[in-house]
Amino acid sequence: MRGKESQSGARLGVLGLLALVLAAPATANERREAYRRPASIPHPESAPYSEVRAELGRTLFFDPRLSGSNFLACSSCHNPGFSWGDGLPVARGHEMKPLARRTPTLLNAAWLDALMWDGRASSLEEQALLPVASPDEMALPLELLPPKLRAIRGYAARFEAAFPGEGLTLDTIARALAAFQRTIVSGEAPFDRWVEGDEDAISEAAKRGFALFDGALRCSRCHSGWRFTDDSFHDIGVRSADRGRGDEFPEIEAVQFAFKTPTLRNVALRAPYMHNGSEARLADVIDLYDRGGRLKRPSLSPEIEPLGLTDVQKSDLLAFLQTLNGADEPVTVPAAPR
Amino acid sequence: MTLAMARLGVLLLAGLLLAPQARAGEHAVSQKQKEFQPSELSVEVGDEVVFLNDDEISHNVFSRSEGAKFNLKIQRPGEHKRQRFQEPGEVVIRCAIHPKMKMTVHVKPKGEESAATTSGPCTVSDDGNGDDHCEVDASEPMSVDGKRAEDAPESVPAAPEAP
Repeated sequence: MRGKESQSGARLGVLGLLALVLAAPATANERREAYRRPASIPHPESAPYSEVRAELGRTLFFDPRLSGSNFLACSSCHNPGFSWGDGLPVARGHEMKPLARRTPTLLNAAWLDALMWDGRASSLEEQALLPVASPDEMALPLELLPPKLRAIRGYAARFEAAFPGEGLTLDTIARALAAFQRTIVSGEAPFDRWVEGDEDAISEAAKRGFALFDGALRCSRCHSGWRFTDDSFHDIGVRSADRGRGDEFPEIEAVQFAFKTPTLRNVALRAPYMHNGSEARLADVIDLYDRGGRLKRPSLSPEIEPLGLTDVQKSDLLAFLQTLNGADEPVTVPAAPR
Repeated sequence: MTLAMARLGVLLLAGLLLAPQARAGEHAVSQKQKEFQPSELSVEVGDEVVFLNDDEISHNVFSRSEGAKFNLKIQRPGEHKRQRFQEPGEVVIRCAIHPKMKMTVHVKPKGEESAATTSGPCTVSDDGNGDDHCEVDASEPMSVDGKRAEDAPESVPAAPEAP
């Protein structure tokens, strides 16, 4: 009898525990865990890390001879001094022509699932030569690129060392550029130290801001994980007539005027904001979200709704976002082969 | 066991007990944590797949595969939408909002054995003819037109900073 009693008592205990498990909200520590920096860079099986390839890619990345004018390098827009962007509302291309969209950062490019503001490339290798070929950007017809680089004596040995027997081709150029871009990783930020358990790494205001971001406001539904993005596409009500991903999917209303969710790493250092630089300051971006978007089209994401933030909440969110500024590694610019 | 693992286990168990079931010729695919579950599914021509949004964010399921081009439009958390597959072949299904969400439906001619993947929210059972099917409780109302269910859960040195 006593045995039965203790058995049913134990069962009750298990049920009680179960209820506790279900009822307990995620602890602050658990929530932080979802933002922990990864231990290593995810190089794909098809492109394992090779230092010699990455260094060749670095040389190509900073070489303006990849453009028709011999003036624009990849780094002209993706400037490491500006967190791998250019700090302009929209990029400037061939002959200083203003482009339609802002230069996206290359920070943490190795983790990208979709590239370009509209996601039209799905790998760094696929993306690498698109700006080179674009008449508005680097304006070098791709058929001219390999012979142009072959004529630079110093490149032959570098390509042979990086891609033995494969030659200097569009494919090896793109793979080298991709290999280098995978090494661009944002430096440790105060937020990362807080995730690791250093309670003094960020202010109380920033902690409140994070609680809002990850909790009530559910910003983390899209700005998720250590990069603070899931590479998804939304119309968030930005003032713009650019259809973004809608150009690729004209039949799908949900992605009209939709652009890729950007990473928030170093975000406070990367003004202006949005795909077209239409929001000058981070505070303006918070205001856009607070209003539920500036333009309410049928394609507006269902997740975008007015928030009713107080001034203190806005200030807390800003404090949190500023903790994402990383101590990025200094970047070496290699000598261009002659 | 961590709290998170315990909670996951409980939720999985609850999911198994509470998941809507599918009729013969009907299969269920869940969208959860920005993934299709299962990621591969075998069906027969004429079968219907119910796409459930079990996530906390909206999705937009579509396919551009030959013979099965469709767009289920925006699907809020908690909504169900249905799609019938009429031609044999491989159908790649994606979410327009979340490009990493991909799955494949293998549509086989009628009469070929349909090896439905057993993971996912449907309950797979023998239909008496030796075939596995996602069995469904018809009492579970599913929105054919994709409207939101009434009881849907809500579910170089750094440049100096500008002054």
